[in-house]
Amino acid sequence: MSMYDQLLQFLIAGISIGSIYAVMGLGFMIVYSVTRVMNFAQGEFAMLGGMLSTVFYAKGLPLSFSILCAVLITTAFGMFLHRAVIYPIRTAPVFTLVLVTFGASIAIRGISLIIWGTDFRILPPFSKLGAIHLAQAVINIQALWVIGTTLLMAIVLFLFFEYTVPGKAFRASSINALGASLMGIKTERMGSIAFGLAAGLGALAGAVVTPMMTTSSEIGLGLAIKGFIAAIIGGLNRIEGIIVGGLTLGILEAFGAGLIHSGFKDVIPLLIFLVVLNFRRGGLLGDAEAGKI
Amino acid sequence: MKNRKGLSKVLFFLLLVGLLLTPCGTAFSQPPYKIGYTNCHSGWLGFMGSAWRDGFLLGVEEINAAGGINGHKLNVVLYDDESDVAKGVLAFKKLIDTDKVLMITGQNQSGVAIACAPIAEQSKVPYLGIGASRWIVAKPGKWQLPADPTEVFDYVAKFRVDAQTHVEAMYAFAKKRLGVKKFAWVNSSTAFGMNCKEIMQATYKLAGLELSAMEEYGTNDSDMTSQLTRIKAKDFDAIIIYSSDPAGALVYKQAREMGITKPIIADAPMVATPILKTLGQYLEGLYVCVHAPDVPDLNLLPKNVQPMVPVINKVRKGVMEKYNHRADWINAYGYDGARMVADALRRAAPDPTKLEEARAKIRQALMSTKGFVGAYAMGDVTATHELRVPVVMIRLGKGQKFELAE
Repeated sequence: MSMYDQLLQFLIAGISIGSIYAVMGLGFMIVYSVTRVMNFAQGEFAMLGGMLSTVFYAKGLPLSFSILCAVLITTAFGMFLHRAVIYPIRTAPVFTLVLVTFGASIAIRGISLIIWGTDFRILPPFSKLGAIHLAQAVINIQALWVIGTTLLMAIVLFLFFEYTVPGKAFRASSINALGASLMGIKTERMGSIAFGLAAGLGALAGAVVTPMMTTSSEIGLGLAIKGFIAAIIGGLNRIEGIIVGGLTLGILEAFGAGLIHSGFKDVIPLLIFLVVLNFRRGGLLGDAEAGKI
Repeated sequence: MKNRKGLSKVLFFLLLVGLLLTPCGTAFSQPPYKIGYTNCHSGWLGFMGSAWRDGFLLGVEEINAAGGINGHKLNVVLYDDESDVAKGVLAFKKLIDTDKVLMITGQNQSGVAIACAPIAEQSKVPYLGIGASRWIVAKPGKWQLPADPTEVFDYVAKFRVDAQTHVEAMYAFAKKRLGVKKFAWVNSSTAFGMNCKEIMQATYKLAGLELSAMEEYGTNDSDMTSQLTRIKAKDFDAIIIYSSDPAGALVYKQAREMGITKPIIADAPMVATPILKTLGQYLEGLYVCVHAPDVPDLNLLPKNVQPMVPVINKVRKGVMEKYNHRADWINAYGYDGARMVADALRRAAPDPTKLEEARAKIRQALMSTKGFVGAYAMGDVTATHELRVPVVMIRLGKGQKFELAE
């Protein structure tokens, strides 16, 4: 296997994991834009998506239906999380709210451990085709599902914000909450919708990556941190920025792990984080004013 | 007058009956033996710790149901260290200082066990270690691979489940049966994995093999692409995955997905029930170095380990009845742990009220264990305070069927 093939393999791995980071980042962005809260329970949404899919699938439901149920339940849970936990303390300082989301992530993980234990679970690959060979590099078909699903989510999100009335109401709330409420937009509902949307996207991402990487009660925090970094380095306010941020993170991580040492997998994202914040405060593609989608 | 006399007679009679009935209420005539057990029941090694605990508690239940140890009930103080080294050490210290147990067993995670062995030695508490690394018994600096440890702790004994016997069995099998000359090696980046890597580096040349590549992964990793890509770039005849966690099974799965067709050999944890349940369907074709209780058809076992068959059958029956799943080697291991503790206590016959004396007696009995026949281990405790565990090479066939490979 030549160096070219190796690099190609790393690139493919980087793009597939980068897509997941991008979706996590989008989840952070959606919630932040309306509520000004960095929701660190975002990773747990991905965990719930994966775990619930495996639970339903194990009960005999068809794969696509299991994932659909998992996504819907997680979406509802996300909305509940906002209404029951965040909304009542919405006037507290932002730092407090962030800590509360951290607490929520720990609670969710704890409950998952009690219900489903420490076992890791897996879903079958979505299609039986196996793999594509590109020179000596191998592309797992499931990786294409991951990348494709991410692209689809990004496009749908873009169309939602740009061309639908609820989407525009959402953007209005993120720009100026007071002004939006004066125009008749219920901002508390926007918060729940934001959480629900972020939860649903996260759940779908969690489910689609499970056949490749398994899922367990513990995967949430790692994904949340990488998603947070992807969101920050992409500039917190633009979909395309976060996609670029997530992919960049994934690719650099894969190259670092591949060319230097696999132990660098967790070090590299944090190093990139420090470097980007040092040189471009607003992230790679963002501007100083976060909040405008 | 007559009534008062009658009443006091009745009361006296009742008191007598009450006194006579009291001993019948407790099945054990002696004070209980309190022992400590701490292990990783959750966290990344939780699948192993909880399986060990299940086997151990099954053994304890059987012992107590048969009347305990010379009439003493076996009481177990149980802690979960959540696969966290710091928590494991704290639990160990708590068992010694607060719970004041007679002896301690447990700690599958080598990293925790290695940290606790000196504590056991210092506090003079007998410790039956179950983790893999021989650094648990060997005093710091007193073990040079591939020889045996030269100086061991007085108070620490363990089952010999270290990598050396396993990798030597793997080399022999790979050379003889698979015609392997060069191999690639993958280990997890835990204390156990690093220790196994050391052992591999010290022993492969003696077996006449060449090392093509050495890779590592983290126990929480789920993407092994970088490591496998680097291995693919080298020339190798087989891959040895030395792993004790589910991520090791992922290495095999992803290796096959990446188009690697050469034989792959792994170690016993890969056939633990939770891994087979979730990833078993992806592990077809994997060669595994297992222990006697893993082989479904016990008639295939070599003659020298046939005495273990009735004990293995007992564990299988017990685990199926109590936990409703097929027993694996980790359950059998835990069961042996309970029986070895009970055997030592029986021979030591300590007085639980005299703690220091009792601990010294138990230590003596533990180190002089002879002729132990378990479901997992058998033999005598050696001069290095270890009890041997026999191994067998198998291949995972379709539908997770075990086929004898040697």
